[in-house]
Amino acid sequence: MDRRSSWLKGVLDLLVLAGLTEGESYGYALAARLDEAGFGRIKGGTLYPVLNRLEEAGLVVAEFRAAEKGPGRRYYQLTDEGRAVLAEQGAAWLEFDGSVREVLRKGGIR
Amino acid sequence: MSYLDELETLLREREVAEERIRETVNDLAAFVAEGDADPEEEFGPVAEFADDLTGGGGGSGPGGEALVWGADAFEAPARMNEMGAQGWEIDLVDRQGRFVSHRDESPQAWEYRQESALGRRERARMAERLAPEGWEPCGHYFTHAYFKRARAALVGPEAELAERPAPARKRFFWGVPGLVVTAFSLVVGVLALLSLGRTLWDGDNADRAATLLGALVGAGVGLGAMTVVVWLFFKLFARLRNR
Repeated sequence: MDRRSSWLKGVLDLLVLAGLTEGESYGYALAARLDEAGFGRIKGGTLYPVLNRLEEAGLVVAEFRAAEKGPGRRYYQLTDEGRAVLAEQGAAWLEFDGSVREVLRKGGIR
Repeated sequence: MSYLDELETLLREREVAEERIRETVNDLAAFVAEGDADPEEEFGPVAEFADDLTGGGGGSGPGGEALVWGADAFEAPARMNEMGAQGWEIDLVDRQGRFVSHRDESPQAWEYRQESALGRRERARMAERLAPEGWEPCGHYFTHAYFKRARAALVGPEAELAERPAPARKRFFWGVPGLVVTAFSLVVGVLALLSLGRTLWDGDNADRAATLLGALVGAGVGLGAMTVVVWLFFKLFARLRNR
């Protein structure tokens, strides 16, 4: 596994939660949003188990809606607990990111 | 048989509810249709994906595994470290207080500690205090705060595990102290409800209103007092264990 995949794996659940702060969304739209943000194309085989884990943990709730044309979709929404976990774990990530930046800066990486 | 038909069959074999299967397959069909993708390329080998979706497999990358398990608060520290030594990393603690964890294809050992903290501020202070030793928060439940540390932080590459032992079949671990405290709490709760029921049955309407009000206030005060007792007890428990 390359280093970038390894970084992404550690933070994908937070990125998904963050992608739901402005309102409900569905699998493909979340993947597309992450792609636009520069994380590359997240495969469904990686994204859906994360969504399932978040749902099982009560951090998101899902509602299936049938479509008039074609298959229906499951829409995900952030719960209050999901919002609290995002705030707490997001702050921990930023702190970690700050420490990495500081060490790299001292190592001459800018 | 198409990929999604095969997935449907595998999910049924894994005893997923029919409605959930229908929704999942529809949702995944919408996903591949929107991206104009090949399902196998998008979701990976169908049996592994079925495992991932049912918590029997990854979600943590190719070849990974996922597991949701729990233990009573007395038993949890030892069990967490036992699971950590087998490469299980706890991602978070869910609403039922269970540990949502995963294990990579090439796992490394993890260490855990359970601390006692009242509220977000105390947890944040605790996280700040433990961070220099490599501990990071991995969830909280009631007054318990959980921290994890990659063993690699102490021993480097030696923390990598050569094999992935199969996890125990049990998904919840009870110890004797946890069972005793739970049984005692249940008995106290049932006796309190019976006593309340009898008082309500015997009294007139004015008595009933006063009794209910008293019960509500008593329950609130009792829960608050129990929270403080549990917080202090497990704080002492953690201090003795971490000595």
